[in-house]
Amino acid sequence: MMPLMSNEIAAATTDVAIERHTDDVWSALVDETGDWLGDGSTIEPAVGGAVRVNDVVSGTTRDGVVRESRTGELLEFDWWPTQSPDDASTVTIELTPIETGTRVIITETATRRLAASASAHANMQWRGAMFSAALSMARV
Amino acid sequence: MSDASRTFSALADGNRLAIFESLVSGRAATATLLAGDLNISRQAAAKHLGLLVDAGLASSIRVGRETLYRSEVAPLADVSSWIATVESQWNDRLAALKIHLTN
Repeated sequence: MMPLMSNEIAAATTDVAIERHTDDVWSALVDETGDWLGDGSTIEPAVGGAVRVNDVVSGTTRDGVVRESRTGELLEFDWWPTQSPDDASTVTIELTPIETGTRVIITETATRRLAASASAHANMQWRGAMFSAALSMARV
Repeated sequence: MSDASRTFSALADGNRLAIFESLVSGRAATATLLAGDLNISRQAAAKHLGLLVDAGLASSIRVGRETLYRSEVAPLADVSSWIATVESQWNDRLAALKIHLTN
């Protein structure tokens, strides 16, 4: 677990190395989404594109919208449980070529939702270090 | 809205976060004192404190004519739990992606 606390209130990140070319991994992400996220899942890899996931891992359906798409490099989207749109978060998927194939790095953050929540507050500033300290206290 | 979302939302305002940080730093404080530190009105500070109390991030006690507020960090465990859950879910999804691509 790697909580990121700089300009973000909470983020989870993880990664995996896959022995396939980056082009193949990208194709699996956006063309074969249903084969690994859940039957019928689709991601339209363009800004504003629809995200629809029948998530076998969480057992929920999730809707979303693509924020950024750079073929073979990066896919970023907001998503939320269909039944709980207030619980939106942002997923960033980065693909990096490595000697043995491709490293896939996933980061999911609450940043976008927080930014939206705070949009009416022009003086919003995140002070990650203090929050990180508070979070550490909570774990004690 | 999940518990973690309530915590996120409660801290999504700069002044509210600053108040929470001040309380976390270890001192109980009144709305008047916090308002002075942040250069906001006492009413605004009291409103922020009320929202922090509602979210379980602060508690209050009456001392004479004053109301003292202090931080409560237990809800931050919800944030920690959210991170752990999300990471675990992505580990499972990435495992499925890897199997799909390598089988």
